[in-house]
Amino acid sequence: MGQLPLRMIELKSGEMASPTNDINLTAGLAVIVLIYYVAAGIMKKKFKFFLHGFSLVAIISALVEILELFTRPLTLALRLFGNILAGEILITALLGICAWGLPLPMMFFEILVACVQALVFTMLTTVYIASAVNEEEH
Amino acid sequence: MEEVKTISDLAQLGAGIAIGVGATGAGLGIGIATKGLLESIARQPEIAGKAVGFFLVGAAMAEACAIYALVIALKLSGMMG
Repeated sequence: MGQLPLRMIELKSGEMASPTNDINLTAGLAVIVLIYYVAAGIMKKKFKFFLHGFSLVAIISALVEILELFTRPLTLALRLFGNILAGEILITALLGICAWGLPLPMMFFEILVACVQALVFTMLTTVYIASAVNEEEH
Repeated sequence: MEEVKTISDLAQLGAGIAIGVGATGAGLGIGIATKGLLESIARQPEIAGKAVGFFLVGAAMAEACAIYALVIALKLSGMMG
């Protein structure tokens, strides 16, 4: 979306940019992933999803898992958002340097970056769902 | 040299430090990943296509750390939200 020529579509305000340039979209996607994998874990393991056992190691790992509950969606959202935003900023900066030559190769590079980021997002989602559904062996 | 007046001037300095240190770590990470890729391809040339796929994903993960630093730097310098 952001690779289209900026003047092709007239907007009343703002300019054409990638939709994931906005953190609200990526945060929404990350929250969907969070709800999905927590729900999948609860549906598979019922109440044992929250409960692993009672020992000192279990308490420490529970603290780590509570931390992961927040950091996983946060990094998932920030990774996608930051990559696309960095690309847009880079293209804007290159527009200021040499508007007729430099941004074009960087736009192709951004297409590659977008594909890789989409792959990373889906792979991390599957890893999270798998780790929620799988019973860990003791 | 004009003197530093407000806290936001210091925030600009902090933004520069944040992106600099963050980019150092990501650069080291991608360099090590490339080293591993080249070594594995030199050892087993037939695995190249598969290894490049894993390398791209790993490099994107390493790059994401620099991207977090970039987001923090943008936040500090007031260019975003």
